[in-house]
Amino acid sequence: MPIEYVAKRALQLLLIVFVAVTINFLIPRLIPGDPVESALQTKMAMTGNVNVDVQAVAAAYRAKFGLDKPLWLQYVNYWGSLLNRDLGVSLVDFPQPVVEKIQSAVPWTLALLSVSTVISFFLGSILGALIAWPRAPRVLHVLVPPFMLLSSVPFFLLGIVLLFTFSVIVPWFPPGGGFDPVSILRLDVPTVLDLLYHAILPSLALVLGSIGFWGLGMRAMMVSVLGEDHITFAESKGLPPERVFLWYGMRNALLPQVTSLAIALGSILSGAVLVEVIFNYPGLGGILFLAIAGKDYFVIQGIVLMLILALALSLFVVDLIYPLIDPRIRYHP
Amino acid sequence: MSPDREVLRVEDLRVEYVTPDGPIKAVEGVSFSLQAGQRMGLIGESGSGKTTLGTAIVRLLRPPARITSGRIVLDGHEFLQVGERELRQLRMREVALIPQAAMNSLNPVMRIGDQIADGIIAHAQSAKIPRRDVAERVARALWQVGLQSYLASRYPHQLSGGQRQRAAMAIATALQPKIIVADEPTSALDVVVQRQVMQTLGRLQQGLHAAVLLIGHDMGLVAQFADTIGVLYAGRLVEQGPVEDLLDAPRHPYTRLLIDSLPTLDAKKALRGIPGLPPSLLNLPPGCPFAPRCPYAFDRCRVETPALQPVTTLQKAACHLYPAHTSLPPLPERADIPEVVAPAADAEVAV
Amino acid sequence: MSVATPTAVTGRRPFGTAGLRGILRSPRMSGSLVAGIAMVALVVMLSLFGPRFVNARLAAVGSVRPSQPPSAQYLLGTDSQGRDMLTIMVLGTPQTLRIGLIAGVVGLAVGLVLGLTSGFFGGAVDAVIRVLADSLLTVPSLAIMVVIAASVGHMTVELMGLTVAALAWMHPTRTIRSQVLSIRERSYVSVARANGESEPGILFREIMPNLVPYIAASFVGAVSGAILAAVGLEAIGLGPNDVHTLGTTIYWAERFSAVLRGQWWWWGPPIVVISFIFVGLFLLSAGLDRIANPKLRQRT
Repeated sequence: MPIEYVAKRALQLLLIVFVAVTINFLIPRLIPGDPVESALQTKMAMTGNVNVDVQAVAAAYRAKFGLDKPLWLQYVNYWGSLLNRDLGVSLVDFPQPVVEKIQSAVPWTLALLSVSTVISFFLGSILGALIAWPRAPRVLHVLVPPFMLLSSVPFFLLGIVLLFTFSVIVPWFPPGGGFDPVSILRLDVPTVLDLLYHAILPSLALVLGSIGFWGLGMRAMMVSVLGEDHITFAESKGLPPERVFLWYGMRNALLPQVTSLAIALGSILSGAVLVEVIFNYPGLGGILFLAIAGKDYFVIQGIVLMLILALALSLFVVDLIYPLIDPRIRYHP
Repeated sequence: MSPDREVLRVEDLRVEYVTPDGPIKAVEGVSFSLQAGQRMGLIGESGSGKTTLGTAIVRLLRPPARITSGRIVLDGHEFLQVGERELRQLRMREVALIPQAAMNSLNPVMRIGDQIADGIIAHAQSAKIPRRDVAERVARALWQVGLQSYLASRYPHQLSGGQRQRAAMAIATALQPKIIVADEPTSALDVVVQRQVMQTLGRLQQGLHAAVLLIGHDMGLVAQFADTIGVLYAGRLVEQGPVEDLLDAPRHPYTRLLIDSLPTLDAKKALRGIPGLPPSLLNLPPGCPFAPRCPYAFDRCRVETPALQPVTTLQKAACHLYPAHTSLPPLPERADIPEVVAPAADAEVAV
Repeated sequence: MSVATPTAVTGRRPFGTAGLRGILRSPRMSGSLVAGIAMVALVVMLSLFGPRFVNARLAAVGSVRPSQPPSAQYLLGTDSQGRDMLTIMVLGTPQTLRIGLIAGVVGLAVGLVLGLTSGFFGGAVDAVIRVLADSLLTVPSLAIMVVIAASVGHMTVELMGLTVAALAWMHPTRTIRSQVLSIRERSYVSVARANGESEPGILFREIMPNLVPYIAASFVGAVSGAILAAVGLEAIGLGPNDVHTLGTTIYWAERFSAVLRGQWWWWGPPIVVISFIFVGLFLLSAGLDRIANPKLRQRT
């Protein structure tokens, strides 16, 4: 793999992170209104403590967190604390560090997202490719309308329907959560099964929500690839049709499909976060929901940052996979 | 020359494109035959049906094109009747297609050697080729077209235009077919490379003693290669004959005008084209399709379609001037050339 | 000099013979387009005329008996806080549409300006716009919108629209830019230039008319994406707090565990309406795509 390619992609990664962190830093400071004060006010309201002078406490907080220093100095400090893995502390669960809160949530989101995406991408792509192939059984075409329907409905709405159907109407699956609340998490078979059991509905929501998109996209790519001259030439060699489908058709249609995976990752991530909210899944989505309700500002910022980093990294990984499947990038002429 | 056996016979082939506006008759009753080792050229302008004909002969037409009637006999096999399996077996072993614009015809994600090999492997059982011989055959296929064996591990985008075209030839002829259909193999290349590729094709043909059907629009190029030439106009074969006879004394007005339009290095003269435009294949006027543009046209031409008939022992032409004449009269004055009608709106289809 | 109109060249009028019938029968109309238009029109009608037929006070907390399943009196039941669901739906749908519309219009306007500028002038301007659009496209939009929305003290429908619009302009910019680039290179633009038309003249007379199908398709896409983003934000609690929208209804349903309690009449209707809107917009955009890209009209 050409080293310039990796370097260029790594540089892009850093650029995105830089832009995103800067935006993350600037937005709250540009919008009028003070998040710290409103968070405190919410907290006061929740605990019923109305005698405290909110302004004074807020001023103390601001001084402590350096929010009263000039903007550029805050920016430098911000980067400093980021590199120190310090994302501030939670205003709601004071003084729990934000990093701690997020750390426990990340593996859940990661697992849910990666497994669901892999399943729906491959299943959807294969089905979509088969639908486009004239030699495949035509019965597959009945999948097209449901694919279209599913891809236009947002994941989390699907999640609600699934939760209701399979948890309330027919109690086959647990009503949310990532694990059985009374169990102790160990690395053993019953725990793993329990985790899977809880993960099925949320990941089904993600899979069903995105499989239509992959299927229809792949179908469109395959239709266009199958119309190309190299398919005709391959057929003129008398190759068996399966070989033409796989190696001359799908193999070429996979390239733009991977590109569209990269483009869609952002919205898949957003969708997964919302699905977690519906299912009370202990990932970043679950924590985000609570943070928003409590106006726990630094936690919100920390989660957002984490989401941006996660996406940027996934894009980087996909970019590295790409040369492995496209020799035109791997070997410059 | 000893009479070689016939390897390809096309009888009254008709191909049409089904469009919402009606059927477009791209090929209308073309018949000819090829002997083993014979080189035949098919000339026509864009829209004459030559590519459709070439694709139809190897049965690689895609919808909306379809063969409506006719017969193709490929080395004794009724090519239009054979089933799927036999069709695949006949392909590459008996008849090979060398495509236009190799860059589009080579699989961009497969190495050249693999593209040669998978054709060989697909026929390994029926052609009784043991697996271990495949690599050797790949090398031989490359050598046959003048490419070095290290190119087998390269990808198409790493080759030059001429190399790609020759690689496509290697892929197509790896199993030494008896018939090669070459559809404008040089149109995407510059002149120097064109010559190289044509020479390679020539050597290939000689080495394999294969019959070659060379399809093109470049009269000069085709004439240099072929022994026999067929001229296509509006999907019909309007003249056919040995190349020297055809060039010296064309019998069909279209051929005559076509040859006249070629610039020469000997005499300086004004560039002449053929006035008018090719007819719409959707709404062909009755009678001879060339009549609207023909300087010799008379009343019968606009009513009755001429059939391809022998004019001399070896030359055939589809023109009402024969058999009354034995050769083309001198060209009438330019003023006699009739007004040309603009073509009716056509569906966009490349024939 | 004769005028080259489609009629003069082909002898056939572009949309066939009779007016409306001709348009409906023209190959540009597809089943998806008609269905999409019908669905979207239905929702728009509901939003425009519905609120006049309901009593807005029934949407206030505690106005009716809480947690009632649908009945003759409350056609869509009531929620745990004593609000009539039918009223909420009729009042909430137009608000959601408004957010989508605001975001769609603003996003498209920004996208149009930036896309035209970027595609037409090229160079450094193009580079800057492109880098900005590409970086924002690669961050998860929900994330940025969450930050914006969480920073805003009091969220209203208009602010919601603007929040969503902040991340809705990139796709239209890219689409329009690439169309401008491809149209620029086409021969009729060179002809216009050779004829001495000025650059802005070329922009308006040659390029813009050809952009119309892409603008329409981008608009539908932008509105669709905007409603999706807005509903997402609302569902996690960042929606407007002064009015009802489809997303905030879902949020409250979530907060009161309506799903687990089986109160399907609370979260069901918003889901149905949202899906209906999305499917309608999807069909509409598929139909518009076909007009913009005639190759898609032929079924292979």
